[in-house]
Amino acid sequence: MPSEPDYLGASLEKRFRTDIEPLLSEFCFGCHSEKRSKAGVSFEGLHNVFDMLAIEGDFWAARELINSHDMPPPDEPSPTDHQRQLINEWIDDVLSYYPADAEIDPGWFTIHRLNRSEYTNTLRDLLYLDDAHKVTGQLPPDDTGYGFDNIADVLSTSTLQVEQYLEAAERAIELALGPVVEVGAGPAPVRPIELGNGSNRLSRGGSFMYTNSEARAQIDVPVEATYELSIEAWGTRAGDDLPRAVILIDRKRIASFDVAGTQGDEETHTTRVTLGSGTHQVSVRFVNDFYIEGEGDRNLAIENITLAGPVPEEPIARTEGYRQILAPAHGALTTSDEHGAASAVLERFATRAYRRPVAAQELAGLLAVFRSARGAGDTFDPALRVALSAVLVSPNFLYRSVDNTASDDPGTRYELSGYELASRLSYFLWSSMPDDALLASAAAGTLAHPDELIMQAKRMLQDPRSEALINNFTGQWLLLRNLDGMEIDPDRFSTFDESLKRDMENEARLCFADAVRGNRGILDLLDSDTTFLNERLAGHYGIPGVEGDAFRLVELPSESPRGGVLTMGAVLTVTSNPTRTSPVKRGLFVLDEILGTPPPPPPPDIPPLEQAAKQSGEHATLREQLQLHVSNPTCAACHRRMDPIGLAMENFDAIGRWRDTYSENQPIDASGSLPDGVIFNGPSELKDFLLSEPDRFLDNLTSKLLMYALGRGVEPFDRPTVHAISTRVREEGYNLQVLIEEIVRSEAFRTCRGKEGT
Amino acid sequence: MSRDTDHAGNQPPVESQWLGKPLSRRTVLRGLGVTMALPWLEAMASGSHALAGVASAASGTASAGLAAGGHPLRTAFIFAPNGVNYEHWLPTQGAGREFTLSPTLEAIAPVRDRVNVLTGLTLDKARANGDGPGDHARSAASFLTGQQARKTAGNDIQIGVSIDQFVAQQVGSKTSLPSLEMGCEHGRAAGSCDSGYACAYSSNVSWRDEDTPVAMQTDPRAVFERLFGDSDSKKARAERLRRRRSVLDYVLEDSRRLENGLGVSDRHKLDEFQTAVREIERRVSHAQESSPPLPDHDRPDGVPREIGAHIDLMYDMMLLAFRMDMTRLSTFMLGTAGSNRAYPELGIKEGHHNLSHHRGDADMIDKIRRIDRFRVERFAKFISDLQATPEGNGSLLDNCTILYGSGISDGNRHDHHDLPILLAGNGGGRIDTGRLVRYKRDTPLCNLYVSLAEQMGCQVESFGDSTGPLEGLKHA
Repeated sequence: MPSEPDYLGASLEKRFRTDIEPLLSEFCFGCHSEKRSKAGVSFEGLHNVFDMLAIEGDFWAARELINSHDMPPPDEPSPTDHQRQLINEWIDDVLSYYPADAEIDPGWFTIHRLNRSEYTNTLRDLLYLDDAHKVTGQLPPDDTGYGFDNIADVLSTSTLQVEQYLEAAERAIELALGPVVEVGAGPAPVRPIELGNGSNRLSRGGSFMYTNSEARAQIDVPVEATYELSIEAWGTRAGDDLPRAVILIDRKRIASFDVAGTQGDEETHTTRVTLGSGTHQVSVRFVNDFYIEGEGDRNLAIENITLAGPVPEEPIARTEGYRQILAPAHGALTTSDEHGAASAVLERFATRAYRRPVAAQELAGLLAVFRSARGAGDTFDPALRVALSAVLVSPNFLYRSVDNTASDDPGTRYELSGYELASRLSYFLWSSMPDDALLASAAAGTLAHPDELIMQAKRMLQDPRSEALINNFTGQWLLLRNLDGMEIDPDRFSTFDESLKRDMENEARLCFADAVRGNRGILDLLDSDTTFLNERLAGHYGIPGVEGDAFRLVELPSESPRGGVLTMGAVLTVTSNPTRTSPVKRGLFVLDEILGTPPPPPPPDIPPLEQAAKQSGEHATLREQLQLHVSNPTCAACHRRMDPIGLAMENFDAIGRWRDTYSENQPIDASGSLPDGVIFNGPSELKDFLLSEPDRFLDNLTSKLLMYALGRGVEPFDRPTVHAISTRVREEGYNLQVLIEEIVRSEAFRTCRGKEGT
Repeated sequence: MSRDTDHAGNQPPVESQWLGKPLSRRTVLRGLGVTMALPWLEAMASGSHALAGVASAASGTASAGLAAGGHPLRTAFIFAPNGVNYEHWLPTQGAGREFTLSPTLEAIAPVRDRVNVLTGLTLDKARANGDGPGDHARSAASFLTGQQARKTAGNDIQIGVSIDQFVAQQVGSKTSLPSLEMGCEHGRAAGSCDSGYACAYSSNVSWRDEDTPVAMQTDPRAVFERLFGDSDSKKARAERLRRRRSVLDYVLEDSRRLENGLGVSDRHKLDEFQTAVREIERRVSHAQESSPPLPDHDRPDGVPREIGAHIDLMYDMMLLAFRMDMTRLSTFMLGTAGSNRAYPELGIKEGHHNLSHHRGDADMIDKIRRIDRFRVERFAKFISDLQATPEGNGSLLDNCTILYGSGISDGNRHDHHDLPILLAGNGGGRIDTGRLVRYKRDTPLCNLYVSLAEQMGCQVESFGDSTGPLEGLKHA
């Protein structure tokens, strides 16, 4: 063990000196000092965090006894509930302190249900279905834990969820493969035939046209292909010409023919026509009516219109999903080995869906589903679709797992297989399934090598699918997803609309994406000379010279307070209330999301702020109202840290616009100081303060991204992992790409151990 | 078109609010005022054990879970977040049938004969009991469980089975859906929820077991399709059921194979999946055997923009499910615990939770009262609709017990005693309504659950922190 604790250890020691030791001295040293050490326990003379860890067992016991009010004994002076809580929280923190250079513990892997966005993206890639979100809209939202919605331990599975999976599987298959089409289908009558002026209904439903007229009908085709349109007609002859018919589709002339047939001896004219999917209007026109009294009467009768097809010789416009998934089967079908064809399709599909080779038993089960549907009367294509939808409801598709039967023994280590790593990597960077290249690397056995893993990661970050990492991570870390639900008062903030919300979100995402692509350092997320703006957002910020709707990189004017996430409209808005700013929420955001040191939750029975409001008068500023936090010792411990940070951002209103005064013409005081004496005034000095200890931010970002990558909460035992990653990132100049690579390279990512049985 | 607003006097008529064709409330409630075939009889006749239940009930004695006449009993729990403004809630004058409605409860005047106002009931497990802050999360978590939630941000959630699920697990197999869970909003999308409590605690009142919440639906269209499917013909539905059955068989088999390669904690996770699959298999078999009728009305178009219309439509769905005996248990969260929704249609732009901590500000208190009253108005309208729906010789409401309440009494103080609780409907003649019933302070709310579970035909010794059944549901 080192003799010097790191900064976390140092801060625990500092808290001990200022907050805890005085309490122990007041309530405990009477019996548990170096001199008396009743029951062999003394809390005196603890010089550093290692001294404290040395009496771990005593602290555990003390925590229990303090909590149950058995200590101090009833006849001794008793701490308040809040003081008990302070002591216990500190004990928790000390006991969960891992020195940064302790041995690496990779943690466990819990079977991981795909969350909503992972499921949607996976359907997209598996089924070649760009609008997969259309079928996943009704899935219940995912449970969140640690601020993320991809935490395996937290993601539960309800009946409703599985019902929706079943529903979504059926819809997705239909959408992806297109409707079931019977190629080479025989002629089917098109009904009803509508009559034009100058015609009569024939007994079988057709049209008898005694002047130039038109018979019309609607035809509905499932897929773009070539069909055979047949017209059964006869005529009455007069004059020199035969009755002439013209066929139009959607009012466009496609063919014409003379009708020589007569009633009882009808003739059928067949035309091939290529039709797009959907509804079309077919018309048959009689164009050469002839009538001279005594000389004769030329008329045209249409008895029947039929449509056959699609014809097998001509191309059929299939969906990409159909071509990729089902079409190979139809090739195989020509050998009339239906079973073999189904087997080939299912094996290929299930291998991609399960993200690993499919087992013989699994394939046999899928074929049984296919056979059962065939047996019940479904034709080949629909029966195969039933089996394909079964794949999409299989737990092997819906869950990612690792094949570690010893997963209840914390003492065992397990190295993820190539396929398991491929999934872990692709769900981290793409929130989706591995692509063929990644699966090929897994199959070849090369992925287990860290260099290959990193190479794949680099390749994947260049792929557009890595947008998922940017959206899902920033959406949760920076609370961007909360923007949607913000009910900002439209009277006070009339410019706040959907477009502005989207713009705010875009700015934050583009800056993070810029860092992911290596153009922007991690510390640039705290403060930067540039940002991404369009005209509307620039106007919102009061920055001139940006025109148009498109976002572009903008060099910020030197006097601009913007740059970095804290001064982005998105962050400033989600940390506000509907009608006003909330310095408390902004302070909390910095402590929690930036520094990773969230204060403990507020104590119970918070006294109402009524007195404060009365004392400080009707027009008390927010700062004056917040003063009460500091005058009340229960609140002060945390609010002395939160409130000044939030107040430093008071020049930004509840939707992030700059202001010099409150609307009541009260000037804004954005100065503040922290308990340890740090003084700042306004957002720029606040940023300078945060940048003065860059490693706190780095450690926090590492923890958050590691949590997201592993899909589990980061625990105290992860500290050495976080430390090792952060150290590398610092050496490489705070580069976000390096952070991602180091996470992928870490033992926590590539291996796991068992978890204590529950 | 406009919607009925007869019980919402201060509400402007609601204009067409959805994309596409608006749903006529009349269409949804087409059954109102019309004596219709009782689908539940049809459904029950196909299962012999259920038939026995009808026979014994028809012979005159009201057996457990059924009313005299053989009509099934239904029970629902409505959760209202953030408590109420207690001064305006509590009736101060009178007791029993003779009492004066408080300003907020004046909204139940049209149906007061069919509602009991209960005071003095307590949810002790929503209190800190050493766990510090987080009253909102606890108020939802313990509302129907009567258990203390383990304080955790996610990894090791622990609470307990909720009363609706407890009952559903015993009697739910008689209907297509054992229970129906609905809400008007889902939990927050990002960040943590309440003072170190996982969002699951704030966003759910229904719990299948100690760590598995039962997901709810917030889109009335989705509720409708869950109840009736999206096929329009019986033939299409039969084919779909046949295919689904075969898919589920495979999935269960696949899941057993997967299980063999997993450790205990992973198996527990997979268990949730298997339980769900088995439950859906049961539903599919039930539907294949009983071939329930097609719904007699249009499907809703989606989530109405205005909260009042949304609440009404969810109540409509509950009524429909009860009327057609698709389920006998339902929960409905008007909002998640600590909901900070604004009520623009009431002219209230501030968030509800923020308002609830009103610091004595008269304007804020007034807004809270208006929200309270608005919520009770929607409830009263629902009760009135149940009453207007015929069943047998009486109304559907005769055979319902609908609890409305919050796990917090006064939102400004976060108390968990003297909870605001309304109990509507007559439970098949087991409950006398129209009364103000004052219970001794700190009477467990769970005592009421014991009584309701017994009424539904469950074996129940105790539930949560109950000390026995609740007295006084019948007039002395």
